[in-house]
Parts: sequence; C-alpha cells; structure tokens
Amino acid sequence: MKYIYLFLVSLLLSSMLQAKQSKEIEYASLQKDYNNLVTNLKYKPYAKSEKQAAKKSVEVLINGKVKRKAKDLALYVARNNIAYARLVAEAEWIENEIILEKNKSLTFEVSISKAESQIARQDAAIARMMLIAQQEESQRAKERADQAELIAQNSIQEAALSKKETEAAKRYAQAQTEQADLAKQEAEIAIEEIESLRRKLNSIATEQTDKGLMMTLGDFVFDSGKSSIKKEAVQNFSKVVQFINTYPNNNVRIEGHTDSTGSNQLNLKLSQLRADAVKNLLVKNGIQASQINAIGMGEELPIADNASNAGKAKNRRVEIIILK
Amino acid sequence: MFKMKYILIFFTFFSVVFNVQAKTKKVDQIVVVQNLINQAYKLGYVDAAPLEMDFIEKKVIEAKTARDKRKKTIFNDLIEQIKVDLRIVKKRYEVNVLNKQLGIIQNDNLNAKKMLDELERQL
Repeated sequence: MKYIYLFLVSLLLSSMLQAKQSKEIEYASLQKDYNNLVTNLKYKPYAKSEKQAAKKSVEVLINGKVKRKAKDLALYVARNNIAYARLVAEAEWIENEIILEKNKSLTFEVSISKAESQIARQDAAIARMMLIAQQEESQRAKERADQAELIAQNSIQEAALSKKETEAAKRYAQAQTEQADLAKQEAEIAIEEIESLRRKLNSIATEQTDKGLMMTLGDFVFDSGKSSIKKEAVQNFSKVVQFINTYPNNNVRIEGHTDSTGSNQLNLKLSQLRADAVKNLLVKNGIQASQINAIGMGEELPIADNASNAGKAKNRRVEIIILK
Repeated sequence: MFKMKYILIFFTFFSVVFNVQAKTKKVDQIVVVQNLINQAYKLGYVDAAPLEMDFIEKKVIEAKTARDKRKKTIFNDLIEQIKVDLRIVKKRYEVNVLNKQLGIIQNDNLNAKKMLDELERQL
C-alpha cells in the first residue's frame, strides 16, 4: 500500500512537471513569436501601441503574474495580441505603401503630363512645319501653274502669231504667185507685143508716091503720148535700116504727123520730136546724118478722118521717104 | 421574530436582484458577441477570414453550452476569445481591403510607368 501511494505521488509529480515543461515550451514559443514581430524590420515603425499591449500580455504571462485558472485564456489572448499587432503593423505598412504609391502615382501623373505636353508641343511643331511645307508646296504649285499658264498663253499667242504669220505668208505667197502670174501675163503680153511689133515692123510695106519711095511707121513704134521710140521697136528696126541702105545715094526725108487731138502747136512739136527720134535711131544704125532731114508736120496732113479713133490712129505716123 | 422576518425579506430581495442581474449579464454577453458576428457577416468580414469565422461560430455554440451548464469560467473565457477573434477577423478584413487598394494603385502605377516609358520613347 505504501508503494502504491509512492507511485501515485511520483506520477502526480511527473505529470505536474510535464505540464510545467509544456507551459514553458508554449511560453518560449510565444516569446519567440513576439520577438519575431518586434525584430521584423518591415513592421518596426508600425503598431507601437499594439506591440506594447502584446509585450505586456506576454510579460505578465511569463512572469507568472496570472492566476492558474486564467493562464489558458491569458496565453490565448497573448497569442491573439501578437497576431493582432502583426495585422495592425501590416495594415499600417500597407497604408504607408499606399501613400508612397500615391506619391509615385502623382509623380507619374506629373511626368506623363509633362511628356504629353512635350509631345503635344512636338506634334504642334511638326504640324506647323508641315503646314509651312504645304504652304510652300502650294505656293510652288501655284507658281508652276502660273508658269504653265504663261507658257500656255505664250504658246497660244505664238500659235496665233504663227497662224497669222502663216496666213500672211500664205497671202504673201499667193500675192507672189499672183504677181508672178501677172508678171508672167505681162511678160507674155510684152512678148506678144514685141512679137506684134516685130511682125508689124517686118510687115511695113513701102509705096511709091510723088515724093519718092515711102515707108510709113505707125504710132505703135512710139511710147504712148511720148516722142521716144519703144525699146522693142529699136531692137527690130533693122527692116527700116535695110530699106534705107538699099538707097545709099538718096537723101531721106522723115516726116512726123499727129492726129488733131491737142493744140496745133503741141502736135507740131510732138511730130518734130518723133521725126527727130527716128532720125537719131537711124544715125545710130549707121545712116549718115547728113543724108537725113527730119520735119514735124503736125496735124496738117491727115490721111484719115480724125473723127474716129481708127482714123486718128492712122493719122499718128512717121513717113520715111527716099527722095528721088 | 419581527427582526427575523425583515432579515428574510431582505435576503430574498437581495437574492432575486442578484440572480436577475447575473442572468441579464450572461444573456447580454451572448447578444453582444452575436451582434458583433452578425455585423461581421454583414460587412463581409467572413470573406477575409472564413476559417476564423467557423471557429467563432463553434465557440459561440460552446459558450451557449457552457452557459447552460452554468460553467461560468469557461463561458467567460469563450466570450473573451470570441471578442479577440472578432477583432482579428476585422483587422484581417481591413488588411485585405488595404491590400486590394494597394494592388489597384500599384497596377495603375505599373500602367502609368508603361505609358510614361512609351511617351518617353516617342520623345
């Protein structure tokens, strides 16, 4: 019986000792938990009052100032205080982080605003430059358009001028052609006249009169209204010269006659001049001047009626007479 | 005899008042923690600490049992534990809210940093 009591007493003591050791381990764990909290640099500046409360609850518990019945609750509360202090510290740390992030956000906002305004300024500068470039380009385009218009106008003017010149050239060419045709016609007429004159001169007949052998030159030999002999007649005067040379020993009398148009005095002078012109021509063709006597007879000896043109034409004549 | 009568009346009155007071106090503590729990649910604290809320609910049941069994010390301990647990739940919820706010701002700042980098690249 004695041993049984001893065993029970020792068992009681052992369980009491085990319980005490268990409590000490829990306190040590609590202390460690608290130490981890207060030494955590992240939470160092935060939850000071909560840490103080946790410390107090831990110290009270460890120092054995709590009643035995209240120890479990005190332990629970102490753990809870540490957890709460950690949460408060975490919350304050987050709040501080939020403040820092908000500051950072403000900094970003300012930087973004600055960058955006800078970009806006750049865009504005680029837009201005583009506007200036566009204005310059439009100015150049306008200048090119003006120049093109000027060139077009010049071209039109040149074309018009060219057209006018062409038309003028055409007109000139046509005029030249017409002139050439006219000249040709005139030449043909002249040739025809010369031919006619030559035929007339060649066909001049001689007739025997009381004065002697006579050859009559019509007024076709002279320039119209003048006393000068036509150039063509001069060149074809060989028939007349030949006629006179046939009678080298006879004197020659040249008589000029006119129609009745104009005054008698004028007609006398004209007839004398025409007779002289024939004489001079004959002299040039080798007839002796001493052999020739030229006399103007005026309108005194008509051979036809002066009332008609045909009669007047016959009366305008120069008679070359080989005197007997 | 006359004195004895008054003494008995006094003790009876005192006993009644004491008992009423004591009962009222116990009921109030349960009501207090229950109100706190309801408020925690209403404010969404349960999302921040679902496990803790489960333990608290169990402790409330244990507290009611202790009260019914008239285990005053256990009841008081449980009430006290529930209160400090609710304090933890509330703070955990606040920490979660703050974390979310911080996350949003950090995300905004990250986007702002990207935007700023992009703008600086354009410069």
